[in-house]
Amino acid sequence: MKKFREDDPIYLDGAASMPIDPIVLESIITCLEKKNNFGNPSSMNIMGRRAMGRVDLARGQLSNLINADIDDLIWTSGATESNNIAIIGSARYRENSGRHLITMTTEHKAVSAPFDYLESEGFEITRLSPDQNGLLDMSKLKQAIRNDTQLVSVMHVNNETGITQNIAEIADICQENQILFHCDAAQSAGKIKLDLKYLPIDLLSISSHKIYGPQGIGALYLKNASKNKIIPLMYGGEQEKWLRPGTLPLHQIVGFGVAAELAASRMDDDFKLMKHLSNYFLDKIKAIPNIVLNGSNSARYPGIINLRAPGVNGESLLLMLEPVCVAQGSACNSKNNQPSLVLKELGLNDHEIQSSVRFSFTRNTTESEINEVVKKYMKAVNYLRDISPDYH
Amino acid sequence: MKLLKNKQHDLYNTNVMDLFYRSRYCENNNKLNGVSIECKKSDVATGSILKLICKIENNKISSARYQVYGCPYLMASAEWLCETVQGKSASQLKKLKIMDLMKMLSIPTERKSIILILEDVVDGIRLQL
Repeated sequence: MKKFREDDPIYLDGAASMPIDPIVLESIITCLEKKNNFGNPSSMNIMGRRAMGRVDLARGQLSNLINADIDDLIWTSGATESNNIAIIGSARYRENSGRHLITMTTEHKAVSAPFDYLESEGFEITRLSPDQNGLLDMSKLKQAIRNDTQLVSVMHVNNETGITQNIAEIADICQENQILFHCDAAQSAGKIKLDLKYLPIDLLSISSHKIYGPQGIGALYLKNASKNKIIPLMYGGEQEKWLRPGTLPLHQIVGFGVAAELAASRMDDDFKLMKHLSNYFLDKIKAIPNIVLNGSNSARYPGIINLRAPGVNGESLLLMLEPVCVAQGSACNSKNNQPSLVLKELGLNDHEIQSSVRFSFTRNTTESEINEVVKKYMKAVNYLRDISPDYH
Repeated sequence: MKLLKNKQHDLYNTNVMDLFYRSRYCENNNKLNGVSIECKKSDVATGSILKLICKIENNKISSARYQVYGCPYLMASAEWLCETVQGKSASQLKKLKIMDLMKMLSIPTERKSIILILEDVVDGIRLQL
């Protein structure tokens, strides 16, 4: 085996974090470098007011991306915090009206963990399993709704498989039943068109670094945010309508805003590219025997592909593939050596999960990179199968 | 002011990386002729499997090879094991301190089953010597 060259990676882990766009980077550097650009946006002086002007511009850029009211966006540290505020904050606000909440078993930990926490506080949680394609069965959702149900939370694009839920239908069901609908759109906002003037979504979590923006910043869309129908998780300032106190990180917000504007202008081209790369990759992979696509192909965001290679340990495969950067399971959960719950819910056993690897493209991914990756994948899979005592 | 230097941190230490990529003693399915004794053990919980194949001369292991299904820690451990058991007799195998690998490879505690597999394999070989 040849040891990898650390300085020459091929990055196919866009679902974990996208590379920062050069235009976004420039906007951040301008914020940090220029001597009159560091004001605290909450300060009343000239530098603070200028900074707040930039924050407002970014809020406008993000609101345009999802066609939301500019006043309904709250800056957070990322989608995980957005999910926590949305789920815990709204459940607590409405707990006198009911303590039943609904979610899916295939959610990211940033959603499932807040629900686990609420359960420990005495809330009742219904966790719906997907069908064999990974999709939510709408009749199951309707059956699960009770008189005391307050919130439904379902992610849009699954971070491990790319499976895309029909959030328009879920939102309609929730609206008919006067239940709040929260959607974790960390993997979809900026990649798939979301029009919140038409989609009856009450709460939407957005991430910056999944759309070529900086890490450490995200947003929560909260319909009619000024009515404050959420109990904050933190206290200490009046920023973000008292819902998320703390000094606004100007350079990150500015970068996120620029990333949102770029995502809006490139969305169609980006989606076409993802579709092309996905088809190209899957076509090349056919040359390797016994490779299986995990989850539905028809309801899949094309930028994410999850493959399993029976007879191969995925962790060793990851190391053999270096300098190709791919992933096993969710990046937020990949070091605990526990099999992915998302893949388990699709009916895979522990061995099948262990042999699965996620490939996720970026706007910079090229066909020649895919050729190289497939070549390495084929070599590594054949080698690991060859040295396995039981795979013949 | 002296700035702290960035310390390189990786999930796998350099010993794991070196052994994993070296794979000198790894045997594929087509090259198992002339084998004297072998022992295969597995861990049901993780699905890991290790097969050790040894040639015996004068009641000692003259050469060893392995086949493996498992994580990089197990693959690195198998590589180390083959190198270590060569030239050893049954009594010398009994003195092997396989547990030392935990420290040498910085194997996480939750993957201690790797050591148990190795110990079982060595025991299996030793009993056949």
